[in-house]
Amino acid sequence: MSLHWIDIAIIAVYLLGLLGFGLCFSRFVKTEEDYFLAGRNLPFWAIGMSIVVSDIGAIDFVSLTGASYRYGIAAANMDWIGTLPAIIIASLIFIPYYWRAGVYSVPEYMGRRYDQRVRAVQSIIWTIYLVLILGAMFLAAAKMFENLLGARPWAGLIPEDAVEIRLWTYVLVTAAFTGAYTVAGGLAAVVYTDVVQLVIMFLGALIVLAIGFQHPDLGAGGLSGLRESLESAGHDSHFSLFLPHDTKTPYPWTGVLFGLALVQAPAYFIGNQQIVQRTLGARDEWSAKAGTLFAGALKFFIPILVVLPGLLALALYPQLEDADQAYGQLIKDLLPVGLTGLVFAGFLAALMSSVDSFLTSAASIISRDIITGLCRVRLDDRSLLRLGKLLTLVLVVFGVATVPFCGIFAGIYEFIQAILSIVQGPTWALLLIGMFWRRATASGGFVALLAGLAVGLGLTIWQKAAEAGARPFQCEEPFMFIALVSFLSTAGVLVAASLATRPRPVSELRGLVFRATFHDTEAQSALEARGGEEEP
Amino acid sequence: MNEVSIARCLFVGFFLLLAAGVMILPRAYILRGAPDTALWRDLRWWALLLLAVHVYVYWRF
Repeated sequence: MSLHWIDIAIIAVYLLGLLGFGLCFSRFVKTEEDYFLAGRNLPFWAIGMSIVVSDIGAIDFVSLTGASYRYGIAAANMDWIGTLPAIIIASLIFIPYYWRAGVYSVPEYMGRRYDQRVRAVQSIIWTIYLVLILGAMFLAAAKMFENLLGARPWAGLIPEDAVEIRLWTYVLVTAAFTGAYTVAGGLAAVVYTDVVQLVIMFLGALIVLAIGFQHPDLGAGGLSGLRESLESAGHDSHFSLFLPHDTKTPYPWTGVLFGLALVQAPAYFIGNQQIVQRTLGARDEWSAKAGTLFAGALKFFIPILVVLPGLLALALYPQLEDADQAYGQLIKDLLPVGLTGLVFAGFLAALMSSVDSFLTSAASIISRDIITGLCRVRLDDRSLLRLGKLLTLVLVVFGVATVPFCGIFAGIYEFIQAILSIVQGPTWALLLIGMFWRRATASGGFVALLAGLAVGLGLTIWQKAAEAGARPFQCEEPFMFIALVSFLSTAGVLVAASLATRPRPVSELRGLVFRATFHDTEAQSALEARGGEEEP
Repeated sequence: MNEVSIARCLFVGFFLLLAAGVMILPRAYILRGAPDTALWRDLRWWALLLLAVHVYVYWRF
């Protein structure tokens, strides 16, 4: 497919406009706090929109659409039960503590709650994850570019069969563009460009849906026509959110409830720097909470925009060799000149907003937690700002370098989930127990974290290396179960090791553990008068 | 009752449990940091509305 010049013009105007808008924020960046936390002045609506558009990226458009093509609306569990409960718990319980503590990152909070060893391990594993996910995003973007543009734009420059070279070209273009305004403007540029990008992304996705549902091959049209079409083709379970516990897909209901909703999702929305960082930049505690909840409201619409196109593609193109090409195929076949450019701009919006978020998150962890926190490098504010920008630039390069490692799993989305399932279970166990049980000790946390990571990594390797009958889990990419087992392992070790080691004085945990926050001021005072309850 | 029906009940029950948890949070805690105490700033109602929508979707599909 070759884009019409009008589409190319729309995309070019959008990209240049966004770049200019993002670069405007560089004027307001004077300190490290301005760069990494937007000067702690973000309103709730910008936080919510930014969380959503950062969370859903090129990976979702390409891979979640692909997942719904393969497995049906069960893929929507990721954005429904895999989001709202966790977001409610995050916004009303955890985020207020992070915000009040004035930290820059989740590892920094972990360091205060446990100790510097926990902070070190957390910083390193989250940095590795963030860099790897950057590679996966660049690859997803390149795949979409390739699917849309193919070989024609490169006629005479790159041989037609040199797909790898074209993919790498797209990776480099994407990295260069997204890196530019992120390096210059920091979190404020990221958040406010995200607001623009959310609107473009939603608009583009709605156009694809609206036109897709009018397709004559869908019979009656609309959702009922789509359902009839799929059921008559034998895809009976594609309209069920619940798949049996022994399904071979990645969405057995047991895994969705116990692995995704209770472990992975809370870990993601409470322990993931990419999500939490915006709330730390809120102008007040209420805005931090409201912004997170507002993201939950917007997230409800994501499956409608991303999962339904996968079902549309299945009805219209049942023989696709690679399900990850479903969304690109829809754009290619359904949209007229002009709208293709707008939708493509929406896709780029989703991509860039995620990439810039991961860049700032990884840079803040490396700068705050590793260089100045663990290595105790002392720098003045100006040098810290320079360091943050330099780190962001270096991360762009590292992200590109990890692209070749992202192709070993069946789908990009599953690849990301595999990494998360190793990291998130232990992280969530430490956060949850650390927040609600003040007896949890630093040494207990450190030992438990290492044990949980070992369990998650071991299970992942076992699952990948073993023959079909000897695997610990029978479903494809059982990331939810791995997260659940590593969570339980970490929790068990944490409780046992904490009971065997000396607890920290309560005074050192003030403001870091959940205590008596259900009570108003009068009740709190009464509690303190009766038994010396500490302030939350 | 087949497996899917049990799963549906568990999922909906999970949402309802969460709704109950939200409602026991005191208003003062929810409004901490808010510039005023207008009804729309009470985040418990935001949460309940979102949970109600999800209960409907999971019961329907």
